[in-house]
Amino acid sequence: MTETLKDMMTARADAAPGPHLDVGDVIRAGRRRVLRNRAAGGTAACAVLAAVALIAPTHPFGGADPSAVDSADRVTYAVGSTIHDGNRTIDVAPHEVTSYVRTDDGFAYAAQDGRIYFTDGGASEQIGDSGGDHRLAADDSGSYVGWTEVDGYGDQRPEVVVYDTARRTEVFRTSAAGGDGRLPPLVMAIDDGVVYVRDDLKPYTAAAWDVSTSDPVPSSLALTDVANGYIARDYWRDNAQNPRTATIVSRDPDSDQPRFPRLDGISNSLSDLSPSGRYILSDVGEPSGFRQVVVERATKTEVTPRVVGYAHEDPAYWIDDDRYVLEGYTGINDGMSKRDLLVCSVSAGSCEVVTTLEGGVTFPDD
Amino acid sequence: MARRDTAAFAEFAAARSRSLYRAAYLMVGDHALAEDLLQEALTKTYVAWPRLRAVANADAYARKAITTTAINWWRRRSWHAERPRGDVPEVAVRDHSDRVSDHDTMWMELQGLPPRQRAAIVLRYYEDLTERETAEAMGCSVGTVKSQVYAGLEKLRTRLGPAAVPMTTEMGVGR
Repeated sequence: MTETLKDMMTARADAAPGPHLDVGDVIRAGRRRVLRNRAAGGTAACAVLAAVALIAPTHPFGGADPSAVDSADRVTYAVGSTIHDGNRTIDVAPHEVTSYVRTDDGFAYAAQDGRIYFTDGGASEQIGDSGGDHRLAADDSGSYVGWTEVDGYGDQRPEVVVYDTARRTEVFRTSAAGGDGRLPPLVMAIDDGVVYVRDDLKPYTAAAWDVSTSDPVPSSLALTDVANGYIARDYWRDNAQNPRTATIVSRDPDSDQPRFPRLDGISNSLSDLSPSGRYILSDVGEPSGFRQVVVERATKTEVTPRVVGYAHEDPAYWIDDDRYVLEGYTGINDGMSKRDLLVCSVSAGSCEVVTTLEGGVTFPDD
Repeated sequence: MARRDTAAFAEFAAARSRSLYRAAYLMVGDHALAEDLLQEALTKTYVAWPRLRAVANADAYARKAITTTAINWWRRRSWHAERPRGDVPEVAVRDHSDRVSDHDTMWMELQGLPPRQRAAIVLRYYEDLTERETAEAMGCSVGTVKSQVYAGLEKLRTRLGPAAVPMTTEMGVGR
């Protein structure tokens, strides 16, 4: 017996045929599991009011200027059939909220079966049916909500839909966004009346339309966020053959400048813009791991608020142009363990705990 | 924020599936089961994707998912547990020139080990992980890795002879 164990294992592994893997099947299975986890979290999750009181809005959907409302009013998350909005709750039973967005008029949410509903705090009204893809998108202010529709079998071309929650009517639909039933395009952002779509099937294509005219609008590949006309996208060396190494934030969709540092390789907490595009929140790599940083776009100055006492911090969403919501984990950041929900203020340079979460929680898509 | 970057995940899965599949195959010894294991591990990785952030994290997570899922499957499926071997080879009289036969015999003996010993040996000597990395992938302590590897190698030595699995090898024991 002359072969070593390592030689034998290497020879066996080399001789093994390649796996027959359909990545689309994996992604669909993963999406179903994410939805199940969220639904399961609904029965286990709890929120404990902590040190900072949440002030109830007197007229939550009355068209008030969002900037005039205390940021605590804008802290929102969903658990099972309940959407938490400041210190009030909206019960949408029997539906389980799997994803949702806020508009000026209320909340649009996707239920487990993929149907899309709208509630202004009262009874829910069905406004669409995604056919399974649950991601929603909305502007930081306004009444548009967008999603992608697929049929249940993936046979038809996916369609991108935009609905106006003020007029309570569908205002845009196209099947020209690329993708297929297995990997439909994602509505990544709605900004200033333009819906931005990202097609994750190779070859990548960029697509955006003016919702009011249905005219195509220039967009960018590898787009991650759009706010106030600023487009954030991944910068790749050599046409996506190498890992993305920076985030480009520009009003010009073709520009490759200015670049902002980000974590090399894959990075999933995508670089997010504050509503005015003033700040960029993203991950950067450091010798000890990675951390979230906030950078002022115009000056490229880091202005990250100080947060201490946590092993991991996962940003959730921008509340307004100064504050964002963060999950702080003392243990593993598995999306289920007990953790603090914090509001971080760039101007104050600090973060405050607003509540404690445990179990599966859904934050608004942006 | 914290959205699932489908394109990045698809690229990760495409780039790493072959390597992950090989390790899965060595752990379970069956192509179809290895494919199931790969699919399950990548699905778990997709669910965890928003928190993984970097390629190294995703790779480590997927490897751990492969390993722990394989061990759990073995626990549930008793027919995949350690297979009693009554046909212990007569190592002293084996013909060392029969490379293919040796290869097959060693493969059968590896597959006959208990699941945790098999996983530990695959991670240490095929994946070339350190003891600490192996412990992370198996979700156990470094001490457990040492004991699992030691027990597995001892069984292989008993069955195959010290020439096949030397006491001190180039395999990097003790890293």
